[in-house]
Amino acid sequence: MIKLLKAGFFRLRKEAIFWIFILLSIIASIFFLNLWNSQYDIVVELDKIINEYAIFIGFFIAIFVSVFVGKEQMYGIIRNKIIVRT
Amino acid sequence: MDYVLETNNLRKKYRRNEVLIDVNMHIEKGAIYGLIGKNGAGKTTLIRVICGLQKPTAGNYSICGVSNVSKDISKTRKKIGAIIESPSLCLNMSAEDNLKKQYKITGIPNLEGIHDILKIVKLDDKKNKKVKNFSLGMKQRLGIAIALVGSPDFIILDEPINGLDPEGIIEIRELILKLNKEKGITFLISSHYLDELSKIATCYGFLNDGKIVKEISKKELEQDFKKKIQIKIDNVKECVRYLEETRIPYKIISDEVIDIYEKINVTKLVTALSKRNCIVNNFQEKDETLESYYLNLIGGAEND
Repeated sequence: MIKLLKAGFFRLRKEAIFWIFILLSIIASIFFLNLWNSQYDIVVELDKIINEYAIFIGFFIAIFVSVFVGKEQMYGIIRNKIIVRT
Repeated sequence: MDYVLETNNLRKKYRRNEVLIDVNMHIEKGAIYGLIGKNGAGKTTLIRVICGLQKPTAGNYSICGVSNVSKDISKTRKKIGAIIESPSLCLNMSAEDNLKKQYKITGIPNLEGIHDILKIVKLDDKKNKKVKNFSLGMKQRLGIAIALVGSPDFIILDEPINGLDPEGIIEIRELILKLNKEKGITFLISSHYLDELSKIATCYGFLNDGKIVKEISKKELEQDFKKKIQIKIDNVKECVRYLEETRIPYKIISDEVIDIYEKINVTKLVTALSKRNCIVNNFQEKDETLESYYLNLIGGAEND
């Protein structure tokens, strides 16, 4: 299992969409932070940002996982893993 | 006999549809086994069962002498490399990274062997190129490289030359022969390209409607091949009359060409035909091809 996880993380690091979503997450958090700051003129606490932003993380993760796992299925990587690891 | 793969009455059933029926297959160590069969004959299912992707409904098989019901089968399966349907490649990763990923899946910590593998498949100069920019032949070679991770004794290739150009086919053929000769790797190759398969396989298994119709070595097959003599003549009717009289088996191909399926005395035939005012324009000895042998065999099996 650890070997499969290691291989998964290795692929994750090489996956452009992973870095795109990381970047999008950072941009989204900065955007909302700015929005609240300008609208309510208050200093937003860090934990509130994280909690509010958690909703959006769900969307990003859902898209990312379906693309990531879908590719594994499409390219036969899962099949290959089963052959090697069964 | 030392078998890498042996199946005993292997069956696979999908609901009411029986895909494999009592398949008995024997692959000797060091052989290149050509699995031949039409679409839907059960080739891929058989390969999937052997690779552990599907469980057999009945029967058993053994890999390197270890039965599929044994606890050691998982360890033994590590001696197998396989490409089923298509090579499992990450297109947005380089050739080297694809191999690194396979090393991680296999659990081999030392990555030193990557360069050697890339050299074997002649991709060492393209190791940093993304796979999505590879040609189909290069992808197939990289697939074989991935199958080579872990130094397998047995490699299974399902339709390895499908869609390849002539150059790609030659590259794959040479690679398989090289690996078989130099590393002693046993191959199981399923293919529709019978002429191509006949250039590399040392034994054949003919699969039809889920049954192994025949298992035969290359030597036995060559002995089984019917020799034929093709003659081009100006008077087919007279020639046929002569062949009927002498009871020589023949087949009329066209208005000018007849195939004769027997070793005959050429001088005698030409003289006899000449006496009947029949001029022989061309004379050729031909061997039966794997394709015609397969068609005869499958045709025979369907008539039984």
